[in-house]
Amino acid sequence: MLTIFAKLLKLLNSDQNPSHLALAVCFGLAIGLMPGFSMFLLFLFILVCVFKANLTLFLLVWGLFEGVAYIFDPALHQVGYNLLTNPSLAELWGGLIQSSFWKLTAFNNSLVMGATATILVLWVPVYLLTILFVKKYRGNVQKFVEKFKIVQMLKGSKFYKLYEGLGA
Amino acid sequence: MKGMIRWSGLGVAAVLVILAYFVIEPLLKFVIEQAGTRALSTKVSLHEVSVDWAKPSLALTGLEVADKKQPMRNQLEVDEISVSIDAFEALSGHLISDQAKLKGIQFNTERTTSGEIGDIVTLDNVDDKVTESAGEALSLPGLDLPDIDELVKKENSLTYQRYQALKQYVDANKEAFKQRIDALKDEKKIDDYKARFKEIKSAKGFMGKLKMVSKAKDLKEDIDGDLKEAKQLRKDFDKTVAEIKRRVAELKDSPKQEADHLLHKVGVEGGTDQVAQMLFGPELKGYLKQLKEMTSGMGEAKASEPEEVVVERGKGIFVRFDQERPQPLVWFKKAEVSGDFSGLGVPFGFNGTASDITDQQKLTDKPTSLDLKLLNDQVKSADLAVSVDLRKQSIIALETNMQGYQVDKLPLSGDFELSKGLADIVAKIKTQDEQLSGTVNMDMSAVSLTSTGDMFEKYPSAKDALASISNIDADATLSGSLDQPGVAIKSNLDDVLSSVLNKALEGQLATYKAEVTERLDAMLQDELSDADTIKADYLGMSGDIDGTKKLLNDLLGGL
Repeated sequence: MLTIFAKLLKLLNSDQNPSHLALAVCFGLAIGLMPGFSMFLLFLFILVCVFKANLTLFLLVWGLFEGVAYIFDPALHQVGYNLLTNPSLAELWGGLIQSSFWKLTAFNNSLVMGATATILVLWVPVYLLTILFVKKYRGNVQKFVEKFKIVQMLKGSKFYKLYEGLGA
Repeated sequence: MKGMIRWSGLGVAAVLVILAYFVIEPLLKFVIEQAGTRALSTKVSLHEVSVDWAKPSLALTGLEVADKKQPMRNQLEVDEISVSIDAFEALSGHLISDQAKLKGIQFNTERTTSGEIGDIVTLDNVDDKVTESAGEALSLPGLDLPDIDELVKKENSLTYQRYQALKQYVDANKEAFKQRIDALKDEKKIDDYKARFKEIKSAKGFMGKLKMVSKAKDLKEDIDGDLKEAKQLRKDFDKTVAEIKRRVAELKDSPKQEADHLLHKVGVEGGTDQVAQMLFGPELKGYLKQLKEMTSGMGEAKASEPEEVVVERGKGIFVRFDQERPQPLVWFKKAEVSGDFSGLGVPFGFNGTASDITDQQKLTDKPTSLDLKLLNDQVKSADLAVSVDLRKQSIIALETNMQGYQVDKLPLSGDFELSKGLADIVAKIKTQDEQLSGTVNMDMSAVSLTSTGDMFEKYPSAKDALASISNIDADATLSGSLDQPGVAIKSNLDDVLSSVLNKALEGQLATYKAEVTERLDAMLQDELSDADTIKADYLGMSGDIDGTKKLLNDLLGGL
């Protein structure tokens, strides 16, 4: 747990481009929420590889959102089910089901649809908020936090050695 | 945007795609096995799936479809299926192709692992199957006559049942007539008539006699009424007497009739008129049974039904949408097929073409048809055309034309063997919702027909007649259902053998029939003689009726 927290701090304090960190959070959230049987997952993995998302942060957030997905499973199912059974969208789904490609994405699964909708809704806000957070942290919070005596004490602790040991 | 791309990541993505390429074949194998198993309700397994991305096409090897009833056997096995189909389409679980090649089709083969997916199969079931397939044995009348004690049993006897019915009929009528006679002969009533008669006779003077006229008229009317009833009684009685006489006569003749009936029931009738039927009938019925087993699995594939709405954590539910054109699981619009029918007990290989092979004809709206060349070293040429239409009704039509089929040591039934023969066979068979119809015409030359058991040992003349047959023309007409096929065969064999066998069997059958009749006579001796007593006793009532009638007539005459 300490290692994870230390890694997180290290990333925040590093020179990493905030947008790369934000992408990592978004992809971690998306892959964490998406059920394993959808072809969407493969595309998301390919995108993670192609886009400069920070892989360490991506792995951390992915793990976190696997747990979140389990907790919010009933809510995701309900969102997906409501969308799939919404009469005004029936024509859209009816059109997509004719295609083998879309069938492979399992879009007609309530959990896949719930997760997809949640990802689409959260993607931009999470992306922007993460960038904002990283910038704010680096601009104000980082210097402010380091002034605390407790932080200075921590710097002499095992945690700090761990933190230092992580390298840039 | 440029700063967002991880160029090294493109390599990793490429690795992922390559990995997917390697994963797609086992994934396809899994998808096809699962979809097949679900649709056919029996285990469907594949040895391997390989994808040719260039064509694009799929090659499925080692397809096995387990037999639901016998999990250690395959209903169908296909060595190789080559299908022109896009791998991504196949991932959806549907194998739909304009062109396919099916090589090495075999039926009823052994499995190395159990194909059971649900039901437990016990040894009892296997025993049942063995017993079922044992088939019918041939028995010629007169040569294997049933035990008379078994045949003749009092409780099942028609004569005994007739005797019981006669007894009941007589008892019921006797009681009814007794009541009617008693009512006519009622002493109080007769005494009343006599008293009224006396009173009328004793009237004196003109006025007195005049007074009695109306009383005499009433008395006459009463006696007339009784006389009318007495006449009706006689009429009814005569009717029942006639019926009783008829029944007694029938009863007397009943043991003989019953003997005929019993012998007919156990097949001791018609002598040897239908030798060909007995020789080839069981064999033909055996083939028809195989046809039923072959076709029974067809059309069982269920159309996709909505999945039950049970939400499991992490799985969600699949919402179904109507497809514009729902597709079957398998649809090979044109296919080249080859394989072997030997698993079905038909000693032929085959190759040819097929169209519209599918698991759901209702979705393709086309019947499946096959045009096959049957291959066997012993046949000059053989064609088989099959059409299977399960869209509305289950209609299966089968036409075959075999020329120069060299039959060698074909066991026909229990004690006969067709040692050799050269047959030309034309068959047209059709089943419509299990109802069977069709004809099988066989013209066989260079025939050698022998009996293998000791059936003909007692009848050397029949054995010789059998050996002398060199040509068989047989025309079979099929009717009934696949479960109980009716096979009527007309053949020159009948004429040849029936004359010889009839002669040999005539005496034996006559003796047997006499024995059965005699046994019935003896068994029902008491009942048959009792029938006469019953009749005589009943006829005794005739005097009572006549006496009553006379008494009433005397009274009336006095008036």
